[in-house]
Amino acid sequence: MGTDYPAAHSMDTCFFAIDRDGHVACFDTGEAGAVPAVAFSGEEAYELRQQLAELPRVEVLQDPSGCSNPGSAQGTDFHWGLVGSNHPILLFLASLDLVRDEIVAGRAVELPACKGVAVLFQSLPAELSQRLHDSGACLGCRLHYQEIEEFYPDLGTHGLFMYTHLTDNWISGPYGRQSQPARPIHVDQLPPQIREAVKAMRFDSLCFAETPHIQPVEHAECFSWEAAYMDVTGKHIRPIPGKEEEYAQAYEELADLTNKDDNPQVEPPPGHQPQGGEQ
Amino acid sequence: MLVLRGHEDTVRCLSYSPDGRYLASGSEDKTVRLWDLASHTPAVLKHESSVEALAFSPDGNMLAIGTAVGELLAWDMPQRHRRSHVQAHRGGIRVLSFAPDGQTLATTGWDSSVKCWNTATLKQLRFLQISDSCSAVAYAPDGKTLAVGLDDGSIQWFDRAGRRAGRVEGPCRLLALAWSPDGRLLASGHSDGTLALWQGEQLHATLRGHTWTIYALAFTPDGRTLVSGGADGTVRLWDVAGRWERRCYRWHTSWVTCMAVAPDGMTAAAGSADRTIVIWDLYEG
Repeated sequence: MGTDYPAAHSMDTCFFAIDRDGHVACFDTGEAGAVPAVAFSGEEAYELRQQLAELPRVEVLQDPSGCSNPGSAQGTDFHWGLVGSNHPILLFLASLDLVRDEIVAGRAVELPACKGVAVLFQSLPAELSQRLHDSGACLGCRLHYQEIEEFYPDLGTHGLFMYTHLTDNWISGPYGRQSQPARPIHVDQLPPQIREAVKAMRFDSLCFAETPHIQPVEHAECFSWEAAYMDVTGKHIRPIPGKEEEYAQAYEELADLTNKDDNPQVEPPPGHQPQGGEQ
Repeated sequence: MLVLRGHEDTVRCLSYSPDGRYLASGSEDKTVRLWDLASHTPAVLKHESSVEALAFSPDGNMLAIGTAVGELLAWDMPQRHRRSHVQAHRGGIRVLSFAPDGQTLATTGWDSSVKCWNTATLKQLRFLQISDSCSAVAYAPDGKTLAVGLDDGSIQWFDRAGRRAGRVEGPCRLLALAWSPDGRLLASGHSDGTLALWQGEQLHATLRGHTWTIYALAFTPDGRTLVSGGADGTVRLWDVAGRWERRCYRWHTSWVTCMAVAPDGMTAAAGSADRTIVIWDLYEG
């Protein structure tokens, strides 16, 4: 049988891992998020996700870290609802003051959050959105689909820490923690087959409860479509080990895109000679 | 304190031989190690899947082993000869417990059932279908009662005929059970770190100290001390009569999965996800 090459599959997948304490986390890759080689399971990841969704439900705390790119000057910097939205939007706010009327009128619902307050709008009027953002009340907002639960269950409500890839498809970036379970599941509470699958990747130096951002490339050999990764500080871009040649080809373009102001610094590929430098 | 190293993955279960000469350990590395406690050297018994549960029979002539694929295996001791095996549970065996007379063995698995087996033949004697998944099973010292712990936190008692004889609701998910040697107390360990002591269906005491799931419980033979270990990585010794924590140890670099007290009550062993087993003197210091 030939070697299974991950690039042949969609990389829009998820993977599972445990931390040093045996907490369990699910990482949604988007597409460009790096996947530890030991945790890559292709379509089986979806099967595992469904199995984990049979765990008892627990309270979940929404986490603004999933709206925050590490290293950015503003801190939290994702505002999917900036111009309003017809899709469900979760806003992280410093207080409920500006949305209290919306909650009373049933147009918004407060969700438990681990920092500040989280308010879910099934649709967010443009005028209200502008007010919340112009006043600086919105600390970050993201799409929040609950209706795909049946097909793509939110495992945060079943005791897992939930991380999502933060940097779209332009680079393999860090993952941000989107939610934390009020009572986390422990790996030894899982049936053996599930336990074996989720503990294949173990972040021995990390505790998910204390780690808002994770870059798997810094912990293990990883698969990714991308040749470059952004480190967990958000300040450096480097080649994914094993992809140095591909990185060298993309280097100039990446450097043009990012080496400005406080953008992340792109490290030159190994053996790179600056233009005009001595041969 | 002595650290036994050799397992290549999480240590899942421990049992002392009744004569105290051996400690058997089962691991996710698919082996059972039979440690000679005089030389601290192990004999390795290889299996096809993770070893989830094991126990010596009361006469020490059998080592029962439950695996992650649901196999129940009987090894003759001290010959170390695999005598027989049976497919016992779908999804893996979680816990097994010998009746005090050694004639019967109870197992529970991830298939929400409890089964009782003839230890000589491994023929199934009884089947108890439980509504929720069962996480622990323990025969009372008189052999007349079987306590079953459930993932919903409750405990159910069954008589010899398999009839339900009682039920109590625990505070939250239950992961460990142990009877005191005189059979008067049943200890239950829960996912929030609560340790409950039951006298029949009455809550006798609640002991708090663990900060997370308790995975392992064992009484000393004199019944005066209860030893517990769990997800917070600690091993704790409890004064049963005084209902207070006597000692708290943190030897392991990872969580504690299993526990056993030596038959003479002088030492105990704790297994961990850090792949080690720690044996210590219960009366040190």
